[in-house]
Amino acid sequence: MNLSEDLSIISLVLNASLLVKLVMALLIGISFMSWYWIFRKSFAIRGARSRTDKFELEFWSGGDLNALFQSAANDRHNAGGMERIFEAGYREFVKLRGRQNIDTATAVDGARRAMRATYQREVDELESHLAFLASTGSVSPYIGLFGTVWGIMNAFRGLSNVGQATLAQVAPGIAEALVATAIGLFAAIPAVVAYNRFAHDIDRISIRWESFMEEFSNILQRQGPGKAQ
Amino acid sequence: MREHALKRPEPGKWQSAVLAAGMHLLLGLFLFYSVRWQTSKPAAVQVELISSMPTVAAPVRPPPPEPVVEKRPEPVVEPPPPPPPAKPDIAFKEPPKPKPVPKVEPKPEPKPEPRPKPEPKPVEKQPDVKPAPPDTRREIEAQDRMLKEAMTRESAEQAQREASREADLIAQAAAEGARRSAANAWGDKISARIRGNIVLPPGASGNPEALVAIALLPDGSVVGEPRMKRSTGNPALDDAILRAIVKSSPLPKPDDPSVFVRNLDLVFRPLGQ
Repeated sequence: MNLSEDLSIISLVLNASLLVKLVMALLIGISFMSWYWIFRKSFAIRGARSRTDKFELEFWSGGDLNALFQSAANDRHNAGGMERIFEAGYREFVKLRGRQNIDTATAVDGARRAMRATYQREVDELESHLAFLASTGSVSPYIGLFGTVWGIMNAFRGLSNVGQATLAQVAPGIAEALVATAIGLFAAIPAVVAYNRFAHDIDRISIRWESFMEEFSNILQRQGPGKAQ
Repeated sequence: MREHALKRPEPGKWQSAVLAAGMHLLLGLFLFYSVRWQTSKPAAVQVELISSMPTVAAPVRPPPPEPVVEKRPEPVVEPPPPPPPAKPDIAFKEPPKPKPVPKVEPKPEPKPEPRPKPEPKPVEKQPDVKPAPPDTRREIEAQDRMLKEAMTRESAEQAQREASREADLIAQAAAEGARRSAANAWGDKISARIRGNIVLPPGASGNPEALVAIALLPDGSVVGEPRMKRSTGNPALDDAILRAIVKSSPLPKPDDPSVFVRNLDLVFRPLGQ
């Protein structure tokens, strides 16, 4: 009786045909990489958020801009995105302000451009590898389905050689093949969920950075003429 | 700036690798155990009590060697010249029936007979079972022939020939008897298996008997559809028997492989023993 055969997951995987095994191995690799990036991105996003919180607190507590700039420039490697935006803008502003024939509006414009460039680099850094999660989410079910279809094709081909067809002759083959779909779904579902969540989190962080850029431009504009020379 | 951006620390590289590995380990364990659990459930046990059947068949063995002498007249009923070959035919068709027992017993009694009349009566019962339709006419013919046979055999020549033949036949019949009892045992096994799968239609009663032709593979599985050679007279019961045979595939194999036949004619009594 085929039904009493061992249907444990290991025997199912080991009995599958070569192509199905390859598909499973590929999917397990994809799944591993997608989980790796899920964890790394979540650490990176959490870190960016907490540093943004910390810097906002320092910035709005009314400290000296020069002191903030010094600490940001000294501790570059641990600086968060907002701190780097501030550093780039302030550095550019100070440089331009030192020139003779440049008025405040031009200096503030230059500072904004510098901040925007840094902002885009930071957002790009945060968003890197999200595309991998997105394509894992959309493609791995299809890869799994391919393995399943192939396995089921083999199961039915084997069935055609048998005179008397019973469910017990096809069932193990189909169960084997379905393992591929299961692995594909296991890779895809968390990737899709994580992609959506990360995209949302990054949007919120970048909005905070953008509004900080506007507010900081205003501060620069206000203090510009007084400090010039 | 660009250099600076490239140099930035990568937080949690190893941490995430370890976490991802742990995640997959968890999934693997979960799959392993959950799929295991499912498989342990469907293990149902089917028990067939077959061993008691052969004991019923066993008493059959002693009788055949004795009645050998007697049997010669009997096969004459259908094919006069070759008495021994007729028997295997019957043996194969009849295996499942325990009837052979009663069949054999009546013979020894009529044996010492010079009188033909008493003999036909016990014999009558057997033809009922095997060659069905033209009962009465055959009976009469058989009686006549038997009479003549009995007369002629009393002549000395035949007595001598018979004596030599008898020895052969006894040996043959002994082998035949063993074979037949094995075939009977096999038939009983098959009947028991089929009886376990049959769903009797309502209103089936009495002790109907069906003759079913089954094509078998050497492993006992049924090829194609079994055919009803002789109906029980109740179409619903016939269908139930055919369905039960298909459902019982593979049928049990005989203990003695030489008994196996590809095209088996099974006499089956769905209600009786």
